Amino acid sequence: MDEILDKVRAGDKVALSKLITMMEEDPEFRKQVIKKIYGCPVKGKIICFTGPPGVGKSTLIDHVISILVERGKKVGVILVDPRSPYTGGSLLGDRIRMQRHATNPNVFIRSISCADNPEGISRSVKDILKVMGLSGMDYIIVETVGTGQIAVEVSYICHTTVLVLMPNMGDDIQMMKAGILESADIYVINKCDISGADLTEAYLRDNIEAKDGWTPPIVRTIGYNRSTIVALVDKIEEHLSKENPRYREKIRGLLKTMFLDHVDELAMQFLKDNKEFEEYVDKVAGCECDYYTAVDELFAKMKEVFCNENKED
Amino acid sequence: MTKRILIAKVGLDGHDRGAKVVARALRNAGFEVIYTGIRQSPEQVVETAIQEDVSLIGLSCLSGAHIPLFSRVMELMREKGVDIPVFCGGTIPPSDVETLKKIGMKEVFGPGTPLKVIVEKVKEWV
Repeated sequence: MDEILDKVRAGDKVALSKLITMMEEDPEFRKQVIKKIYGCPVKGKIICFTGPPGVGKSTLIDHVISILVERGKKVGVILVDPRSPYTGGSLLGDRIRMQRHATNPNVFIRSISCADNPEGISRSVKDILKVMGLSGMDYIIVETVGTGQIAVEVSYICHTTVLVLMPNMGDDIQMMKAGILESADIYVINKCDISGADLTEAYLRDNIEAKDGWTPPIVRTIGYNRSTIVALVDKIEEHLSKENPRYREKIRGLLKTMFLDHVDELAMQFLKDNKEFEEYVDKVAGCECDYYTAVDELFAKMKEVFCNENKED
Repeated sequence: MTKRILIAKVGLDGHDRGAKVVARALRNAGFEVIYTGIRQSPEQVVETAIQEDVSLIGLSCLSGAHIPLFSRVMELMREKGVDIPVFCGGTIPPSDVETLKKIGMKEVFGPGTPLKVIVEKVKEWV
């Protein structure tokens, strides 16, 4: 493991790619890697692009990469696309929009599939971000699965969250709803060449608020017009350069979710192939017992087991 | 872990119906499929295969330039020190099949190949 980590630190793309695969394949290996590198200084700033499917996230990222690379930066990109809950298969197609960067030595692009996770990012992504940071990238761009209304977890894992919208996506009531629309640092209205952009911008402007001295800007872009995207990159760099008092808080929030994820996993492991658990499921299915009672009783048993284990230690 | 497959179209050729149909069939068979889109250079294909760390590459070409393009892909992989199995398809004359196999193609799927055959072969390989 040390050998591959050294290679990754030296900027070896093959090693980075292999390491990501190994981390995706084996959660235990992932854990070991994180234990090894946790706390190492990383310089990569994380920028997250989120928004509904088809608004142009990948196309914007393509331009953002090219502008950042021109400014002399190294850029890593993680693209998350959905995995079928039926067959387990997936078609990872975000990359198509940015293939012109495939051979650029300063760009590394990786597609990842994500199972049923309403947050739009897969659990391993958080760990993979850490190793990408290790490889000397100045910026790491994450594109989420096209997300709906509740995906705010992404805003915890990154320094800057860009929410991409397009005209005619609904009236002002849609914009007033809680959730993803509150979470972004920068708002983009893409496809501004189609009608309705003014109204969308007006609705949006009514509903975003300044937080901690930062008023989230609204940037209007057109996917095929690169010059409109320069303004977006400027805003991203401006946001990243500012001291963000919320950042510590965000990181704490992220660590908390990762912590809970891990607790979640431990509970799953405990319940997997657990005979009593299966019996409870049968009981609930047969209406002998409601599921709240079942969970309460199981939780009491789990506590007992964990406490006993500790005593043996 | 789901196996990852790269479906790539090399050269100046916009006919991607076949590549898309194969990509979808493999997706439905439970693979993680990464599709490059049309008009890729061999350099782009090999670099993509490395960054995505795929277990198999499927090349598609309908322009007639399959021999030089596919050969270049194989050559680049050797240069970069990676060894990923490759299969191919497209409008390829039967007389070229032997040459393609010699340069390292695992199989050549011409027009009319049933998807089932492709999926079964792919499952054998990865």
